[in-house]
Amino acid sequence: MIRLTNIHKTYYNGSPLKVLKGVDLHIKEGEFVSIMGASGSGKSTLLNILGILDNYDEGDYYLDNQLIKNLTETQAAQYRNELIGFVFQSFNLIHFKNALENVALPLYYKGIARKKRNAIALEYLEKMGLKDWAHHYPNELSGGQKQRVAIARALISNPRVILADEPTGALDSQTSVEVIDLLKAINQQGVTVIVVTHENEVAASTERIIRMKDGIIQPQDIHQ
Amino acid sequence: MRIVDIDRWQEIWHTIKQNKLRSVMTAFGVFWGILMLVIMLGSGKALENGILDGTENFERNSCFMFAGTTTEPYKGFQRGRSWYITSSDLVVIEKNVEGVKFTVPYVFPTNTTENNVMNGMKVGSFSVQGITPELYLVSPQILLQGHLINKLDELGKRKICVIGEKVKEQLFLADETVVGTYIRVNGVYFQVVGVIKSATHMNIGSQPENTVFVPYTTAKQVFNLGDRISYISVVAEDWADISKVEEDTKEVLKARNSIAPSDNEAIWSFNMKQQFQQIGALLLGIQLLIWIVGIGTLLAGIIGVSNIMLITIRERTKEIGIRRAIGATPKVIIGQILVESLVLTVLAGMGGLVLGVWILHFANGLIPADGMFFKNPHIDFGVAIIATGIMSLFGVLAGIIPARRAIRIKPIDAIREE
Repeated sequence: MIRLTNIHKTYYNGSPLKVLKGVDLHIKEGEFVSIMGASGSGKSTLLNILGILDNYDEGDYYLDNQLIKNLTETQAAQYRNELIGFVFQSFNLIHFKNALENVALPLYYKGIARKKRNAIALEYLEKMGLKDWAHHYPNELSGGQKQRVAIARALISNPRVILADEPTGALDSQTSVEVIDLLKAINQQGVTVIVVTHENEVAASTERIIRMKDGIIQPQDIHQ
Repeated sequence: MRIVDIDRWQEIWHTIKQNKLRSVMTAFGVFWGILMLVIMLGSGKALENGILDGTENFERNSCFMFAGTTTEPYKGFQRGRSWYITSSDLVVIEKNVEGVKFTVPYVFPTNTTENNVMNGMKVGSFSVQGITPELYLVSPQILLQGHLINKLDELGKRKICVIGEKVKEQLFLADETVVGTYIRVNGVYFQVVGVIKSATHMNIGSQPENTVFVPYTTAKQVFNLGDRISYISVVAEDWADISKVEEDTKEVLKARNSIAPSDNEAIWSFNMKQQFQQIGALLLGIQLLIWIVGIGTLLAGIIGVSNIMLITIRERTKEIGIRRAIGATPKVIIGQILVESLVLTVLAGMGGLVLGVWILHFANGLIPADGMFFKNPHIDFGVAIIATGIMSLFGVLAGIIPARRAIRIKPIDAIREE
């Protein structure tokens, strides 16, 4: 599903900062993996590249057998919309839209009519147990509820891959367990789930742990 | 990018509506700009109406002349000599100057005093003019009662008069018979044959409403004026150039009255066409100024929109980043920002337009009906359309810079907002 070969990435903020120094990684379809590493190890950068939110300087990235390289913003947006669902630590819900509208937004960009996308969004919210909260705004929801809204939004466009960046970072341990269970359930329906975390419990509940250090992935973690 | 896409409009409208303060602040500049433009244009129009209203009936292809004193010695005469136009001058002018249609002489009795006009016990001070019926072709008048002075009155030197509306009001009771009554004008009794008011707001000499008109021939005789004409108007044929007619007439007058050809001070004259051209140029200047200031104000408003949108784009980094992370293409984002800008500008502009028109309408109610120089402030429908067009165009332009800024935001910047 995901194949990275020799990915390099350098940031130029004043002095060049080499973040990724030749990353190789293979992730098969339907895997549930976690990426771990100390801060500064490059795991967030890797996630951005995986999510086509950022580009890389060197190497090749194949997503679903398609080379993701030198894409125009429009192409990148299309791949993101079709293949990838994002879950963020800070939820990243749009504050002036209610839960239902937030969940339905990816479908708006797919050109699906309002009624239909709202119906679908309500279905996903129901799956998350948030049907009654559909018309609440993000500031009226708890952290766990917000994260579940964000997960519903990530799932609504039927992505092949879910990328979760510290999904439990802002949640208490009880809610964290619920969110991880949710991701596990999603994975069991065949979606590839990649979680970036620095929490051992979270990593332990995934099927495979990929450790990053100083911009490279430990050789034994490249393949399953 | 479809324009008629209800979904997209809903999305944009939702964004505007959910951010009321931001939207109102953005739109205010344009609202104000259009409001000012409308009010200024309306006021300019009112000024134009006030100045030009009622002047359209006045004969423009005409000039006026009166005798001054000579400033150069000529043919044995010393400088500083007084002279006057005579009726034989008029005959020669009408006959010899090319392009002259007709002339009108005006004479004033020299013994005019306070309370010169009387009807029984009622008295008033009014201007008295001896004229020929051709006057009505130069400065049209509306007959309220009776008849105007005609050729027979002139030829018969009849002691009749036509009085202005205000003269009638002052000398007669509301239900009193006016036509047929004798009134005393400068010591001489005249029978009133008509009451008039002016069909134009232009007047030369005195306001027709405050004037007693008598036949020119009668005035000369009863007021003992000899052949002295106070001033004349010369009306040119439609094809003739009034400035040329004016010069030619002066030449004839100079030759007949022993005035040096180079003595330009001896005859005072002005032609109406030139006067109107000057007024026209003045009004055009005012219009131009209004548009410059108005467009400037509008431009400031538009730049305000652009500016505040730029600021809000920074504030909206997260929103735009999220939108892009979940699949919005740059085109969609640009479209959204541009249309948001367009909707805000046009809505604000419409608001300004409506309020401006309403204020003009309200102001119109406050202006007294006979108030001069400011009349019927309004803006033309065409101007409103132009303003709306400019607004929409600038609305899109105002969106361009923020939109470009918006697509430069990488989705990762949104996610890294911590």
